[in-house]
Amino acid sequence: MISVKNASKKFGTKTILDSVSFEVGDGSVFGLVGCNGAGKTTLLKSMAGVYRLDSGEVLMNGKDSFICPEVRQKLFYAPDDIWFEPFTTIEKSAGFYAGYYPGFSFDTLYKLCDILNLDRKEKLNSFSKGMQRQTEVIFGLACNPGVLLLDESFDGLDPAKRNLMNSMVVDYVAEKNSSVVISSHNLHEIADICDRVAILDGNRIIMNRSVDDISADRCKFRLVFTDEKTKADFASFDIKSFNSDGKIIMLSLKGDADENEARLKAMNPVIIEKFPLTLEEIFLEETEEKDYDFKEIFS
Amino acid sequence: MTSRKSFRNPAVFTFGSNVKKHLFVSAGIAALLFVYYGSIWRIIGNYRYALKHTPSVAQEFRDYVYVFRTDISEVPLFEFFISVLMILFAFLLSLFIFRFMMSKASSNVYFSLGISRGSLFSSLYLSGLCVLAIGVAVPVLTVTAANLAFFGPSRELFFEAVYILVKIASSLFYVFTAISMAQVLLGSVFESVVMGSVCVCAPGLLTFIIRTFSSFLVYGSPYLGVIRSDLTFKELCGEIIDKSDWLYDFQDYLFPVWSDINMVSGASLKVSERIANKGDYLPGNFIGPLVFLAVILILAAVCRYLFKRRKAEKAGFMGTCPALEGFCVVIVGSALTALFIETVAVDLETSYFAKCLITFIAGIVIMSVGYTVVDLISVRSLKAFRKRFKNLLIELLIFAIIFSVFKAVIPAFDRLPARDEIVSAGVTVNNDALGEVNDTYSKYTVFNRDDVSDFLGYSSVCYLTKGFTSPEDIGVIYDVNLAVEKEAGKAPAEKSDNADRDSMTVPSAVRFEYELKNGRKYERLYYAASVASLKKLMSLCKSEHYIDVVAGALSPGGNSYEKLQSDDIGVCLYSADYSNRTYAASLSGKAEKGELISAVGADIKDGTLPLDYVSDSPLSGYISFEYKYIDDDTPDKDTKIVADAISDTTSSLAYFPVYANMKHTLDCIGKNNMAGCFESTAVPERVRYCRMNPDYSQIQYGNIGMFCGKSLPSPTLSDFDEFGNENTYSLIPEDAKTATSQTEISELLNGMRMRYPIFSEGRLVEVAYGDGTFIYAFVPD
Repeated sequence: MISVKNASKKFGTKTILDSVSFEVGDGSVFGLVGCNGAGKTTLLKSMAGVYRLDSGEVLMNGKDSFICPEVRQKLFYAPDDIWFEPFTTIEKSAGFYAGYYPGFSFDTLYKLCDILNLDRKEKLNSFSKGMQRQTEVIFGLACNPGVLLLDESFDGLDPAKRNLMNSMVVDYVAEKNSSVVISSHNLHEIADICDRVAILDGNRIIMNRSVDDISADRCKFRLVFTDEKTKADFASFDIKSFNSDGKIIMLSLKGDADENEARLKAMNPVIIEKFPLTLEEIFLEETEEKDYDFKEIFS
Repeated sequence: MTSRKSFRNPAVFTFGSNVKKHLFVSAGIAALLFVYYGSIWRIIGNYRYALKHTPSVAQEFRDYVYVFRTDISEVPLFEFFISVLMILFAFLLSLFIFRFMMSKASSNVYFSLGISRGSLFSSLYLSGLCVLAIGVAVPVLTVTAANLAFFGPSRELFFEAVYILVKIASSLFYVFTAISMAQVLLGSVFESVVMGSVCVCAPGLLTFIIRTFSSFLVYGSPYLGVIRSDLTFKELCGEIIDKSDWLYDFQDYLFPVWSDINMVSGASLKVSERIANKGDYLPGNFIGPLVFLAVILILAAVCRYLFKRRKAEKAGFMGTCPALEGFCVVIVGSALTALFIETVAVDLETSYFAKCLITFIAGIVIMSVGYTVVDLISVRSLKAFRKRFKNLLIELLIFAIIFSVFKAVIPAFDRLPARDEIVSAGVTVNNDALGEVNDTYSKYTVFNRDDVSDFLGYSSVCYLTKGFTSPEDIGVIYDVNLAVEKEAGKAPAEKSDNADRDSMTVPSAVRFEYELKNGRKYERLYYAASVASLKKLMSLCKSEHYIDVVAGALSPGGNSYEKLQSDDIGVCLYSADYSNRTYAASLSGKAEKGELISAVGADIKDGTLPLDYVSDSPLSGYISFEYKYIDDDTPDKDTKIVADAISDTTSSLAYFPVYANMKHTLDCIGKNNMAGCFESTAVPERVRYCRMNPDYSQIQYGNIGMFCGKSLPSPTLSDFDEFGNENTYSLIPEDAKTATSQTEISELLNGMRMRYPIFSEGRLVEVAYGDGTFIYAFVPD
């Protein structure tokens, strides 16, 4: 288990993380989503012991990951910007990681290489970016870490490889009862493999819940009225999004879904349909920038 | 399967893998040193050949230990090239090992590894030192082993092997540490290379700054003087310790690479000779390298601390360490200011105060421009530049503090005492120690074939002494001191046709020493003085105290007496016109020599032999105390003299003119039936002459110059230019006049002096004798 407690980090005068706290349990895959510049990478680097937090701590089994090297021997960080020693191969790099990770398994590494068709003797700088990402992840898995931090590690992979890697990670967690933190902009993927998701925005965690409960306190409704309705007609609701096409209204409301449904029915719509929100919809509702009139800009 | 056997200790793994990865650097350094010490194999080859064919030569080989001997060390450029390449290897090694900090991607990997930051730094740093140590140790130990195998062991061999190992390794360790520190503090490779280079050169620059600032701004302080006297004055006035020596030791400690890489060891001397004559063997001084290693250790500890505190987010960014940037700007700016002093300020035609002010303003301008350029390159944004502008003010403040320490603080604690506080005064004038100054004023080192320096030698009149207690003597010394002090910052004049020669400032090491009423001692040291000041000091030669000191040195028990009496010194007598040269065998016994030395001392005491050698009495001839041949195979060795003393400038030889009124000396010579040696025995075939004045010389002309004549088998001398080509030249100009009338020849022969102070004008005369001897002498007007 890894827990982040009140993590704060500034770069100069700019606050990147502001009292961020969350926990990732054993056998859990934790998704970290957020806009560009929200602080996901900074958070992961702080968890990996690369950055020193200005305040707060990252604890793994009660020990600070920045201070205790023993913690980092059980934690593998796969950064967004990939780096290998120049002119190295998978075999040579394996020696490097084996020197720092007590649980490193050459056997696991070579088997995964075979599955992914990665040549162990070929220079890594001749690999495509996608192949380098696969290599990075399988090094992480071969290290047998208790905590695996993946920073946009699946970006740039073809769909087949992406599925394979997803399965790899999920099976690894199931087998080793490890914790995985994945940061990604691919929300479908996050929803598929994570059991818990946090949204980072404005330097803070604005949402942290289980994927199963992700739309527990909000719901999307499709309403058809006989007359035209405006947003003002729904002023008594906690509206997260509102789209009107005359008599047809698409509405996302925060609060108890059944209670909202009952109140909407009281407005006598011709049709009322209730849908659960996807992670992407929730993310967009929480982080979406205000509407711009691009037509006006480009006219 | 989990392969646990690969994991040991991350620190050990880091160390081992880095050493292995960078062994090519060790190979590079080793290759350079093998080239440098490569001649050992040729020597061994010759030795093996000699063993087969000429055993006596092989024995000769065994008598020598050719430790680290290289024939090519004679070529300074090669030594410089080797040194630079080795430094480059250490420089690059640090970049290889710590470059991961310069990129975000690699920082992510290294800083997330399961090893503490302290251990990571220590392992990487020590692996670097190990790589360098291997590179130095392999060739040094190989050469040592080769020596051992073929020439046998000796204490000196082991000592020198360790010394060279420590010396070169400590130099490379420093470079490695300085670049590592720059990288720990900075975020980009470019900055690390530039500022790291400044850090590597910092000790040398610092020494240059201290030397130049102190010689210009703290004029007169013996502790900061630029003159390093290699001479001691035990002969006449006891030992004087040069208090500026610490500056040179400091330089050695700071950066042994440039100051004295000393890769060629003294252990290549003949072993038997060294053991029999311990004085010949000068073992390397370990203090410098060891102090240096201690400094490196401190720097490494600071580096480790900074590495632990390093923010990984610096990686890839420039301008992340304003403190190091400031250090580089201040040190380079101060060095450029020092260069300004040497090249511009000293030659300005203004007052000393104005020169100092101009230097200060120049320093401020240099510093500001330097800061602006460096900072704009670092931050590449006017907005950020403006934000950091206060750093410039801090740097200027630091420069101002440095400047005022030299100009105001040190002089405030080092003022000349009032005249009535002085109970005893001393002064020495010695130009032999002006090498350092002459380097600065390089125009004086230009060799001029018509230069009187060909005739300049030791100058007895220079060796003034301490212990002057009479108010008159103290007054002379104090007045000269005040005059010399006022000449601060005045550039020594070049050869000049200035009629007012006395006002010229000339390079001359003048040291004053005072004993005060309160028992304290006070010293001043200057590197230039006006001719008038030096002439005034010359008047001290006639003082009672000085005569007593010199006469005392030539009396039984005196230093010079003991030295001249030694068995390897013989006595030669010369006629006044130098046509007659006699080895005085009857005067070469210890007792007879002692009697003669005492007689000369007695004449000095009586004032018949003035200590500036200028007398109105007719010149009878010369007495010369000269080294005997030391080659045992020479027949009649006792009568052979190493060299003509006239052309030899060794200070351990003594040479005295004998005037007709030197009763004691002439009595002693007469008693030994040698009076006839002063008679002329030949008539010159030709006498030529030209004008000569003190400005004739550009080298050492600031000395209280003693003209030293020459007796040569040829009218030409030769020297070697910078390319090693031999040039032959005449000692007297081609257009010299030839004396034709007997009156003129007699006048020149009677007036010629082989020793004479050359403050006054006169003629340089060449006398050619039938036996092929050419005599060069001075005829004062």
